[in-house]
Amino acid sequence: MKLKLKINLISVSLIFLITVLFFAVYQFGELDLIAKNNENYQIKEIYTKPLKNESFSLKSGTVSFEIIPKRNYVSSIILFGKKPRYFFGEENSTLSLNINYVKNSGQEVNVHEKIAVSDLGSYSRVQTSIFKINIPPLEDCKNRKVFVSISSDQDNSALSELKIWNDDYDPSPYDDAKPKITYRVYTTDFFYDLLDNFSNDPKFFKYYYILVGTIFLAIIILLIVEKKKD
Amino acid sequence: MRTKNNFLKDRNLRLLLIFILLGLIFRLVLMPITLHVDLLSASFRQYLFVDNKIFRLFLLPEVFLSGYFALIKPYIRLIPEVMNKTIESGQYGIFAEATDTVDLFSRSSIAMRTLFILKLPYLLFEVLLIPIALRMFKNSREKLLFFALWWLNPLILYSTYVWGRYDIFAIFSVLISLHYARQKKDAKSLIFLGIAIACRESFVLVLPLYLIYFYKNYIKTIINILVAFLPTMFASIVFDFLKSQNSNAISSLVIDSRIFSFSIDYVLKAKLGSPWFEMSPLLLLLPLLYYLFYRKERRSFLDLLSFNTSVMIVFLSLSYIHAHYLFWLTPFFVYLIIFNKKILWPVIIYLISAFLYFDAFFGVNVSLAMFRPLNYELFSNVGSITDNLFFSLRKENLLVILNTARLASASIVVYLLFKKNNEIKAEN
Repeated sequence: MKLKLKINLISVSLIFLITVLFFAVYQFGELDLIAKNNENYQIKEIYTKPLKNESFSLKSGTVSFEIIPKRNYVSSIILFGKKPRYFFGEENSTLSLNINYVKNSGQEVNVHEKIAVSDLGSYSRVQTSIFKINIPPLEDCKNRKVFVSISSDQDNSALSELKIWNDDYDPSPYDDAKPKITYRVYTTDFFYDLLDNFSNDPKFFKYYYILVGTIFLAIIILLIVEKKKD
Repeated sequence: MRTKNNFLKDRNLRLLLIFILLGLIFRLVLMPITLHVDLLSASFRQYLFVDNKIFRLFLLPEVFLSGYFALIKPYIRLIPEVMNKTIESGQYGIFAEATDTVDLFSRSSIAMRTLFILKLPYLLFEVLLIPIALRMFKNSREKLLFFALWWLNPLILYSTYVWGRYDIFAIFSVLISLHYARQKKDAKSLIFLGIAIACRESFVLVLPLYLIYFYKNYIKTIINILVAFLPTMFASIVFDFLKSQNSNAISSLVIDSRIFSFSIDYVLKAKLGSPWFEMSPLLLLLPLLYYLFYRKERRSFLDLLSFNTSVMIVFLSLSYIHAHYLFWLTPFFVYLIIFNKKILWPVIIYLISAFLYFDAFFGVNVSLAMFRPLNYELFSNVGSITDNLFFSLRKENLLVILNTARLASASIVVYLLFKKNNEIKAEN
């Protein structure tokens, strides 16, 4: 029996649009994921003497710490700081962010950025604030020791302290104040990882692809027949 | 007169096949790539029973699944490998036994294959029951709606194929009991409700409504109660027999497995996520619902359905539960939406707010970390969904917002259930 297919301009346009969107997401899509695991965030060397046991002050000084990312493309560092109520009154204050690490390839990377204090975030809390410091996504940083330091550029007054909690301090039972880092996950990167994982068990996935592919094909055929009947 | 032709038209069959195949695709995609510690715990217990005759099974479905385990033993070598490593490390315990083994399991190259095999009985169960589901509904519209709502249901996909729980057996039994209730066949309806209770004891909460619905006289009611508990009594006999086969190996680690793990503490101790209550609101609301149903002059099937749903929503909204327990609402919602489409959007909002609430409360146990086998180095290090979306909010505030949304949408659903508008007569 001859199968006659009627070409519908709208259907074709829709399929084309979906295909374009899919490849656009695949090529350019990014996803930020918060890595909560504290192993990714280790405070190793602190240049500023802590004022209290549980926090480190950025009052005219430098705070440094080391992270060991589990993935490439760390894109931000989220810190929980203590925010006195006049902190954001310091409109012109800036901080210097320095990042230093050695890639797996052996190349040394140095990142220097100025961060306006007002850019650190305006999330208000009773005692704490969340500061998200966006950094250029760090390439090839997986399992590398990444050294981060934040320095205040001005001689800030006592009212302008930026305190950063270390990983042992939890101000509230409901408040997860442990520092976090965010990975920028690119869609292509994600899919390559996926296919890489699937290739670990080719014997199973050979049959799995056939099964899923057959069902998918059956759905397409049914949809075409359904469209044809209309 | 019953007409077959109504459903056997090609278009209906095609649409039905499309829904089933789409549902199948979603299930097949999720099966190998998601893992929760509960699935590992249950698998360990079943493996222990099949291999070493150590009885630690919890509920009736695990007995059935142990039979399946006996068949697939050669294909799940990863389970004993991981179990032995856990035992050697001294971390063997009732609930903690699998916590660290999730990582151990996920890293294996055959993890996805093993997960697929472990979840296969649920898929086979759903497929084998398609003919039964087809016979449950009278006309083609109901059949199509049912298959769309069941096979594309995110609750089923999440609880059964992502989380790996075996509540699908209880859920389907409830569905069949509702079908017989619609036909006013009390014995059959209560037997299937009894099977559901034996598989998941929480459904005992709707038993009073069934008894009121089928009420004729006191003697009949007592017989109905006995009928409803027959499956549980039979299952207890099975459990006792299997316990007697217990080997003495690792006897210090054997717990007292029981059919009825439902704890009345749940209800009486006011641990319902609302610490300012001195006493459980359930102690007031549940009897109130039973009384309101009892007071109705005429109790239709739709009334039974509405009250069943209300009881379960009230119970789940005021209890300390895991997200996948929302699955228990599935048979009631599916049936109700077929007859009362107005509740669809409030139901969706309720489920989303409830899910996000539990995600914020329990964190990674509910969320993206379950996709660990898909990409271990990515998903083992991510936060929960609410963390990613709402990390700027203080957790206490986030929980209050989501809990308010959950309770408000639950109230709207219950209100709409009591409101008689746009209902289609469902009686025979």
